[in-house]
Amino acid sequence: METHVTESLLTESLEHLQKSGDVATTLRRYPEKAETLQPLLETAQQLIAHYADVPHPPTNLRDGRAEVLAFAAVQRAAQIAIASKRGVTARRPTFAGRNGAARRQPNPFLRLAAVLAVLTLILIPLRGPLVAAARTTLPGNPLYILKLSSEDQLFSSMNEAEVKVVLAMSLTQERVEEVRALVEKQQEIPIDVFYRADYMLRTALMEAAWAPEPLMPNMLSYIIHDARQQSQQLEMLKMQATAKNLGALGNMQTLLLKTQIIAMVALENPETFREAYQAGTPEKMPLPSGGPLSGVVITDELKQLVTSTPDSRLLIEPVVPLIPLLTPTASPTPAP
Amino acid sequence: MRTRETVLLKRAQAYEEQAIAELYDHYAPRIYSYLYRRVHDAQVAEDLTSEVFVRVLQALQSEQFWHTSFQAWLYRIAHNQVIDYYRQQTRQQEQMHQVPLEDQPEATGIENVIADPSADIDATRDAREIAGGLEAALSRLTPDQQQVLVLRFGEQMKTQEIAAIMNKTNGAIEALQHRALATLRRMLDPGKV
Repeated sequence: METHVTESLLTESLEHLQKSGDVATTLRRYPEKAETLQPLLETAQQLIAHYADVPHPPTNLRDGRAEVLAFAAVQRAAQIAIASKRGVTARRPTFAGRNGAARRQPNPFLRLAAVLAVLTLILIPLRGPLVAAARTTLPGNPLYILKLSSEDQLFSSMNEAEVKVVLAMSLTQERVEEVRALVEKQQEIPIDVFYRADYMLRTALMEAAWAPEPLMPNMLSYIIHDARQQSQQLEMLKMQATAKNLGALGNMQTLLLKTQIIAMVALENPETFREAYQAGTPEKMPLPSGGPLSGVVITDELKQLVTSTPDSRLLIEPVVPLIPLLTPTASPTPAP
Repeated sequence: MRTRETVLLKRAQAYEEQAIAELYDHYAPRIYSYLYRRVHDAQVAEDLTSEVFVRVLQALQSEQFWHTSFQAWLYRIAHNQVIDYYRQQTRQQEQMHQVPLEDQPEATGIENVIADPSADIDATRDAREIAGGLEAALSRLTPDQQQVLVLRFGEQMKTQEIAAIMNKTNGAIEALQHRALATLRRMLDPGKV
C-alpha cells in the first residue's frame, strides 16, 4: 500500500515537475517526501533535457510522405480495378502508341488489377514440378535457365506497362535474393545476375515511360522505392561478403542508384523522360544540377554511369560512396 | 477530434489521398520524434516513420483496428517497428562478429568524434559524456521501462495515454515508471538511491 501511495505521489510530482521545470519548486510541495523524491525528480529532469534534443528529420518527412502516398495510390488503383471488374467498360479515347499508330487509352485502374495477378503468378508455382523446383535455384544450377525462361515467358505474356514495371522490379528483387543466397553460401556472384538485373531495371524505366499519364509518377515512385530498398538490402550483405563479391554488390548498387536517379529526374521532367525512353534513346535524358537532385553531387563519373551502357569493366570497383549522396527532394504527385 | 479522426480513418481505409496526407501530416512529426528517441538516428527514424504509416494502411485493410485510441495504436505499431529494427541490428552485429577483424569496415561517425584528440572543448565533452552515460544506462533498462520513460518524458504523455499504448493499467504504468526511474538513478549515481 505504501508503495502504491509513493507511486501515485511520484506521478503527481512528475506532472508538477513537467509543468514547473524546476525540482526545488516541486519538492517544496511535498516536504515530507522530499528526500525520497529528490533523486527521482533529478533523474526525471535529466531525462526531460535528454529527450528534448531531437534533430530535424533529414528530408523533413517529405520522402516518407511521398512513399506513403505512392503506396496508397497503387493500392487504391488496385481496389478500384477489382471493383470495376463488375462494371460496364465505357468507350475510351485514344492516344499515340509505340509505333505512332493510334492506341486505345486503357483504364489505368483496370490495368493494375493485373499487378496482383502477376504477383500471385510469381509467388505460386503453377507450371509443374520442374519449374517449381527451378524457382528456387541459383545461378550455376542447370535448372536456373528454366527459371529465367519462365520469368521471360511470364513477362512477355503481360501487355500493360504498369504491370510490367511491377513485374520488372519484382524480378530485380529476385536477383537480389539470389545474390543474398550466394553471399551467404560464400559463392561467387556471376556476372549474369548483374546483367539480368540491369536489363530488368532498364525495362522498368522503359515501361514506366509507357504508363498512362496519371499513373506514371506512381510508377516512378515505385521504382525509386524498390530500388532504394534493394540497395539497402545489398548494403547489409556487405558485412558477410567476400572481397570479390563486395565488388559485385557495389556494381549492383550502382545500377540501383542509377535507376533511382533517372526516375527522380523523370519525375521532374516527365515529358523529356517519356520522349527519350519511348524513342528508345535513354542517353538523351538530361541530368539537371538542381531540382530533384539538389543535394546530390553530380560528378563526371556519376554522369557517365547514368548515361552510359553498363559495362562490368567500368564498374570493377564498387561505387559505394555515391550511395549516401542520394538525397532526393522530389515529391511525386500521386494520381488523383 | 475523435469523430473527425474516425472519418479520416474511414477515408484512409479507402486509400483516399487527402485523408492519408492529413493523418500523416498530423502524426508523422510525433512518431518521428518518438522513433528518434528510441533509435537515436535521424535517417533511420525517418525511414521507420514512413514504414509505420505503410503498416497502418495495411492494417486498416486487414481490419486490425484500434480499440480505444488511434494514437495509442499508432505508437504500438511504432514500438513494434523499433523492436524489429533492434532485432535486425542484433543479427547484423552477430554477422559482424563472424567477420575477421581486419576485414571489418573502419569505424566512422561518433567513434571517431570521441576518439578525436582535438575535441578539447570541455563543455561539449561533458555534455557528451553525460548524454552517453544516460544513454548507456537507458539501454540497460528493460524494453518496457525504456518505453514508459520515452512516452512520459519524451512524448510528455499522461499515465492514461501511456497505459493505452502499452496495454496496461494505470497502476502498472505508475509502478513501471517508478522502477524505471529508481533503476536508472542507481545506475547513474549509485550513492543517492
